[in-house]
Formats: sequence, C-alpha cells, structure tokens
Amino acid sequence: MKAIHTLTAFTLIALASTANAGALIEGFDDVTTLGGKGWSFINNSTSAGSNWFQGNDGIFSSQRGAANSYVSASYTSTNSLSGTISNWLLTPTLSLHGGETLSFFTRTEAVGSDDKAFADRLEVRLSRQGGSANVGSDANSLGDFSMLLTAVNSDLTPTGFPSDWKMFSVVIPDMKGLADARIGFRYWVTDAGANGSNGNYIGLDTISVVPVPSTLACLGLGLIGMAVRRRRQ
Amino acid sequence: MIAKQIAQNVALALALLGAPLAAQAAAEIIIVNADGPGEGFNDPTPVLPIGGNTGTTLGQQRLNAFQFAADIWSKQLTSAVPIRIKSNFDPLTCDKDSATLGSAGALLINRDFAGAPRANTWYHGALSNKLLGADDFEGEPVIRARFNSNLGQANCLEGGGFYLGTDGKHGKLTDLVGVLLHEFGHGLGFSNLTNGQTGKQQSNIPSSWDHLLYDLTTQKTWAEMTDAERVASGINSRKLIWRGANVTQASPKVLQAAPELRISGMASVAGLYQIGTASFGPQITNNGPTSEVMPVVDQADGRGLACEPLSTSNAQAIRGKTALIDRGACTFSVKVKNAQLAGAVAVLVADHTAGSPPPGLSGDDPTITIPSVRITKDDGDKLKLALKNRSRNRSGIFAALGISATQRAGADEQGRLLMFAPNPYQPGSSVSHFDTSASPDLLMEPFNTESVKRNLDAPFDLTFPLLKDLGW
Repeated sequence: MKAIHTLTAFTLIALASTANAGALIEGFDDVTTLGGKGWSFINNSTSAGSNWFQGNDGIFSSQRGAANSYVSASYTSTNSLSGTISNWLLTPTLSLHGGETLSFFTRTEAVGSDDKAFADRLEVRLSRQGGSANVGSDANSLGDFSMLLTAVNSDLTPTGFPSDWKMFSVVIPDMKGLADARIGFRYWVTDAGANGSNGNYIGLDTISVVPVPSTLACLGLGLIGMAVRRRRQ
Repeated sequence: MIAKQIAQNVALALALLGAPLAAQAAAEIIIVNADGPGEGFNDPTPVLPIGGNTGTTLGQQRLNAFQFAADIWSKQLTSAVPIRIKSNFDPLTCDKDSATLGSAGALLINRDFAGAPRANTWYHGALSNKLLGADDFEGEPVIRARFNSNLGQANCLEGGGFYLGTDGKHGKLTDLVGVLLHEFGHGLGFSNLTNGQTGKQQSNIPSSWDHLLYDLTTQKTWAEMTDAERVASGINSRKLIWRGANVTQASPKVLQAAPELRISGMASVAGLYQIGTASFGPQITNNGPTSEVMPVVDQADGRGLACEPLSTSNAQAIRGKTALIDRGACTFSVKVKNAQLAGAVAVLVADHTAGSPPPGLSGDDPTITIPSVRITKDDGDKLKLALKNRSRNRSGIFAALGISATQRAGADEQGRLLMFAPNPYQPGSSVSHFDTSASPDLLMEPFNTESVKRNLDAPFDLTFPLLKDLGW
C-alpha cells in the first residue's frame, strides 16, 4: 500500500508539470464522460454485446474513489452463447517518446470454492499511428495495435487473473523521438458467452502514464534554458 | 322530468316462455326466460340431481341455479320494485382454452327521476326503480343476462362445463351459481354505462359510475374528463380507482396486505414493480426472500426460457438468488421447477407480450416450494438491460418479494379499490370490474377463479359496498 500512495503522489506532481507531454491519469469517476475526453470504445466480439461500462459496486468496489469509480468489461461483451470476446478501450492520443511508465490496477471477481472460476484476460497494446482507432474489424484482429505491452493472465488460466486489485506497470519502449500514440486495453477471451468456459467480469482503475524522472528534469532544464536565452537578447 | 333510455338495442325476437319465478326476499328478483322451446332454460335433456339441485332436466337445473343465486342477491338488496332479469343461454365467445361464461348489463337506464341522488346522471334501471320507489318501466325487464350455452363442448373449454349444483363443490367445472351472482351484479349497477373504448357517454351524460371512477394520474373522475381522457384512463393500469366511501371503508376488512416486488441496488431500476402472482408455490409472505437477481440465458438471442434443466453456468448464476426467466415455449411451472432444482430462491417471469398489469402465473405443481411472480415485458426489458453489467455470479440488483406495510392487495395506499384497466383495453371487461390484484379474490373480478363465491358483502366481498356507493 505504501508503494501505491507514493506512486499517486508522484503522478499528481508529474501531471501538474507536464500536462502537454503525454501524461495521463484516469480514475473512471464517470465513464460517460470518457468519449468527450478522447477515449474510444470498440467491441469486436462475436455478436457484440456490452461495451466497457461503469463499474458495478454490487460486484466489487473500486481501487480508489467512489465505490463504482472504475471501468468494467464482462462476459456480456458477447451476446452469443459461445463466442470470442475482443472488447477494446482506447486511451486518448498521447505524445510519448518512450520511457514513460504506464500503470493500472485490475482485478476480477472473487468466487467461492464451490463455484467454477471463469478465466479472464486483459491485453494492453500500443498503436503509434497517431489518433488511429483502428483495431481491425473482427474478434481476432489488432489493426494498428499490434504492439503488445503487457497481458494479465495471458494463458487464460481459470484463477490466473488477480481477484483483488493489483497494480501492473510497464515502461513504454523507446520510440526514437516524440510520437502520437494510443494505448488499447483489450478484454480478450476465447470460448466465452453464456455457455462458454471462460469470461467473467474485470475492473480497471487508476490508469496513469508517467514520464520518467529524467524526462521531467530535461523539460525543467529546457525551460530554464529558454529564460536564459531571452535574458541575453 | 323523467327521462328514460333503452341502454342496449337488443332487437331479439325471443319468445318469453315459462312462468316468471318469484323469490321471497327484501327485493324480489324475477327471471324472464328468453330461451326458445327445447333450449337453455327449457332444455328437456334428463339429468340426475346434483349438489343440492333437485332438477331432473337440464333446463330445470339451470332455472334452479338461477333461483338460488337470485335468492342470495334478494336477501342483500332492498327494493319495493321487483327486479326483472331477461335471461337465456346463447353461444358466447369461446375457444379451446378460454370462454366468455356470461354477460349482463342494464337493459334500461334512467336519470333525473324523483329521488335521484345526482341530477343529470344515468342510473341502472333496477337502482332507479329502487330509489324512485316505483316501477318506472311498467314491468319491463331492467337487466339482460346471457350465459354460454356451448361451455364444455368441443372448442369451448371442452370438458369444463357449468356445474349446476348449488353446494359450490364444482371441482374442475365452472360454478354456474358464482357466474350468475357475478352477472347479476353487473345488471344491478356494477358496470359503467359510459363506453371506455371511445370515452363516449350515453347522450353525453355521465353515469353514476363515472362520478366515482377516479384516475390517479389526471386526478379527475370520469365525469370530469373529456372523451380522450377517458380513453387514456381506461388503460391506465392500476392507476384507476373507485372513490366510493363504502368500498374504501370496507376494504381493510376484506383485502389482505398486498404482495409486492421491490427492486433495489441499482438506481436505474430501483422501485416497486407490478406483479402477477402464481397459482402454484408458496404464498408471498412478510418474510419473503430478498436476493440478488440473475438472469437465465439459454437462447442465442439472449433469452432464458428454462424449459430444460439448467446448464452448469446458469445454475451457478442463480443458486441462492432470484432467477429472471423469459415467458415462452413451456409452462410457467416447468420454468419455476427448473430454477428451483438449480437452487434459485425465487423466480421473476418476464412477459414476452407487451401489456399491463402482468397477469398471474397459471398452472399447478405441488412440488414447487419457491415463490414466483410475473412482471411486464417492459419491466423485464428494463431489468435485463441493467443486468448486462453483471458478472457470472453477481449483479448488484436485488429483489425483495414481500408484503406491503401500507397497501392492501387490490387497493391503493389509501385503501381505494383498483379497477380493472388493462392495456390494451378489453371490451366487456375493462373499467367494469375490480382489478385482478385483489386478494382474496372478489366476486367482481373479470376472471372466474377457483374460489367459490357466495358472499356479496364485507368482510368477505366488496360487491355490495360498491352498489351502496351507487345508491343501493
């Protein structure tokens, strides 16, 4: 818990000083406002059902904030009795150049020992094609989001997805200069649907993209440098 | 000035056969036999005496049953003028699974007679004669009543004909005495003289019924409404009430506390829901179950019919919970039994046809031990939409089946009786009956129920209190 608090405090500082440099923090207080902030919802599941939706605190509470202040995807992403879920949530366009740390919290529902656990899987993917929301057109396609940053329960093991909030972090790879990019959260579950063996309900909360400390320092130095130049004129 | 009108243009050239039967009572009721030779009340088919009815022909047994019912009404009413009911057996609407048992109404109506409680208001002929204290119709029948001559025959509730005994032990048959009591009630005053389907009043004059029929939405009586408002009010399910003081005063003595379905846990669907109760399984009690709602899904289109034993996934979803199941493809009791076997503690059956209020769940299965209710299609759709935000085991939406602390079954929160106002409108039934949510069942509900009815007044029934409201 100490680590989480430290991270949050740091994130806030980073936001204040680097608002235009690709930083992001989202706590999902109101999922209906995400579209206006540049987020995209694309459900490529077999017989698409529900998009990502506001967390249901009747199932579990958020990692932080109000009880329902997280975003969810569920096995109702597909309307078919048996099909593949590929349900995307894309961040707004971010200016990244590599080295930033993406972190987020996720979990699934805790089930009793007598109940079958239905496996969930979350992929985090990156597109370097500016504001593109191209994730292809079917449940298997990736479109511009071919780069896999990380995956939670990549093997779809029944109990492989954390059943309590857990933080995941990944460093954005070097992009050789500033690039407009988007990060895609893909709820990807095969053999899902009402009769399927997999797919339950996941929550996603407190997503942040934080520039590395050296980036912050460079930006600060750059500002000072400009000031110096002006004084010389 | 005395104005009279023939309420129904019954241009039937029916022979009036048989001597009028007189009942010794506070109000004399006389049958005017309108059946032809050899039919209905004159049917010579030999029959054995049954259940207190000593008649030995079908026609005589029908007459005896009529007399028995007339005697019950006679004891309840007071009138110096004999009440003549023109009656016969006719083929009425029916099919394999449903039938019109009988129909009745005022043959003559009256207004602005001496002693009329309200000016410029129509009264049923029988009541106007009572209030006037004299026969304003010169011995003409004031009530018309018909009973279904085909009942029990092929394609007319086959095998389910009228029981002609007077002891009420009708078994699977339809108790004719109960049907007679009900239909006489309509003729005596328990029916609206205004057309609920068009909103039009007889000669643009309200009936005594219109003054006491009150819409909770518009907060107007039918006498105060326009035609269009009456049309809307006629389908304002469970928002149309009877405002007469006698009924309201008696209702707590007659009606049980109302069963209710309260949904909670998610603001978008929280609240009280209209329900139709089941004829099988336990009565809904004060300690009814409160549990999370989970849908059964076993069809490719997302519905859950539960006509077969539930899959492992569905069983896990509803174990210990309230199962939401769709109507269709098999009987209600099969669905509820499958949910019960999978561990559900209660069942909501969502209708597949639009309309309100939700009818009950018919059927029979003595092995069912969990409560179940029907909800409307609209409410089912609303719940299913909210339930999309669920996991395999939780929805965060809770259903409480219980007994209302403030409301009686069939009345509003102030004890005023709900009147039958289904959507769509049912000509011949809508507006002129108590609502089907009344419990225990009342004589003047639109559908014949299992319970035998021999009572007209509180604490067992509200038919006579309503007639008192009208002036009886």
